Amino acid sequence: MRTYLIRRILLMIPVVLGVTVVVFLIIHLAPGDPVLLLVGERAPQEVYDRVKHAWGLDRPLLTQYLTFLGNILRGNFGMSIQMRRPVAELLARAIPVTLELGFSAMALAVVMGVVAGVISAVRSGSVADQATMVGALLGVSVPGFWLGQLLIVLFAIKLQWVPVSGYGGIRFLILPALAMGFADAAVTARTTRSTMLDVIKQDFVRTARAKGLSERVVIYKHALRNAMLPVVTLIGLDLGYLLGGTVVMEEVFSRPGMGRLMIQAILSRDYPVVQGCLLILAVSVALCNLLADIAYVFLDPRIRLQ
Amino acid sequence: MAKWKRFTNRASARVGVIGVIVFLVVAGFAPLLAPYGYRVQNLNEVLQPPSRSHLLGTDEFGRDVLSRIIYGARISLAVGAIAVGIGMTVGTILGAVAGYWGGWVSLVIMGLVDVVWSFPTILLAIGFVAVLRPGLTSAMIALGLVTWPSYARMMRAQVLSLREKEFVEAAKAQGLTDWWILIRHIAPNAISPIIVLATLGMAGAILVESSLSYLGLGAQPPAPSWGAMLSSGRNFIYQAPWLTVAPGLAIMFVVLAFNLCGDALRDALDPRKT
Repeated sequence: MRTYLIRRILLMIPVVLGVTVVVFLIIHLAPGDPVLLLVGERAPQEVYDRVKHAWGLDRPLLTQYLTFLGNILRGNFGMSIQMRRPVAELLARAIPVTLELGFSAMALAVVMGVVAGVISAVRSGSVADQATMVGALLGVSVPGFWLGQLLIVLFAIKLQWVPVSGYGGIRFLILPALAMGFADAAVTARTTRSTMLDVIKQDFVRTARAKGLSERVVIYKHALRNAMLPVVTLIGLDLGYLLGGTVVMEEVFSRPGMGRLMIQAILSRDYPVVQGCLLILAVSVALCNLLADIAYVFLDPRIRLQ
Repeated sequence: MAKWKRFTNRASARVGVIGVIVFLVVAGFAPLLAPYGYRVQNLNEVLQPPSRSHLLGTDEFGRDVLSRIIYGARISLAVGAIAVGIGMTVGTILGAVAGYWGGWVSLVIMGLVDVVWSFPTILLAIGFVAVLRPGLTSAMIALGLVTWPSYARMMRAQVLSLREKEFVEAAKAQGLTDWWILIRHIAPNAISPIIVLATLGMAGAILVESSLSYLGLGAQPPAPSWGAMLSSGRNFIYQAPWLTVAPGLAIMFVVLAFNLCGDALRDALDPRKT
């Protein structure tokens, strides 16, 4: 198992490097002078020259990339054109907001999804099962931002139970977390249901029942544990997907997170910020995938005991 | 033949197919179906609730929402089809090459797949559009570039398993070239799961496109993209909540239809169920 883990962690390095390459290239793929893209059109000549030198933009492409990489690793993500502050500072303020939403949505999704999936599997074919699956199908087909907007109309405007938008305490978190969590819960429910169905058919479940164990113990202690493996991997991958999904949700609810930061940066051509956000988000996703793989290895005794 | 029957026997498949057909008809015959043009403004009737003359109300420029929804189907169809077209073409070719020849070619291609894979779809699409300038064409290209990895992975897996089969050996013994074998013998057998992916991919593409235009990065005004309609509806969420309902329902309806079809196709083609 240790070799697998080491190999897996090592495998992440080229992927992360690849991510940095893609993010680096974005500046160069955009039409126009990359230096102008970094300092803005109205920067004075000395700023232009200074930035050009600091990022190595007067040297060949490979040197540029290495300079970029070196700067990133030292925490220097450049300066925001729009707000004239270090990008790293803007990111530091925005990351907690995004993480708060991402984790809450995932927690909701896991709870709702797994419970729904288990109930569906255990009562396969019943009305509850079919209703849940229809709900799950709708959940996957509904645009999250639309659900968010509908929730705003219903709960914030008509009923006035929660504020319409913004960031602060739990009141501001409920609607966005629900909107995001719902789509995710749907996917989780479907996967949980299908893995549970597969597991329930297996021999060891029959043995457990034959032993005279109560149905509840059979399901929760034996079947569920085994069914959870692929679901755990799914959750890990989900977190990455969620982090990306916060982008739109933050726009709907005006939360000052990374997604909103990135969108506004794109619309105002603030490329250093765009790069910084993409980098952080993509690396986080890669990390989540890694964690999901590692968790899977730890949880599956068949692999662990090799 | 048996597989086709299994597909059409399910009620959900039939609902899905009907949904897709409705979508295609609406998109195709939009000018005939829409009561007004999608750009026709009537500044005397801004933000009107649904009424007899405007079944879904009007927006902030007095444009008929129903007509804009109908024309919007064209945008969704175009983006979905082209995005899936690009993704599927690039993905299956690269995946087939990786699967058939293996070695360092496969390593490079799959490495690329991993890198693109590690970006959340929406983020990468947003990133690409940011570079290419927001607009409909950028959105289509971006979506194609973002979705090809799943086709590549699937195709590679298929080719890998088919490559060892006897009919390939027989073809080689006949002296047929590798490319010929790939295109005429392996590909037709590998195509079924790709079709499932493409159907589900349509659903995904339409969803992501609506997110992009919601953020102002997709089709630009006055184009009646459903996502953009929702976004501007948000500005009038207090005075005109009906603007929030219709475009979202349209998106959901179309995405649901494709998802139903894709799910049913996948189940019908699943060898485990035979």
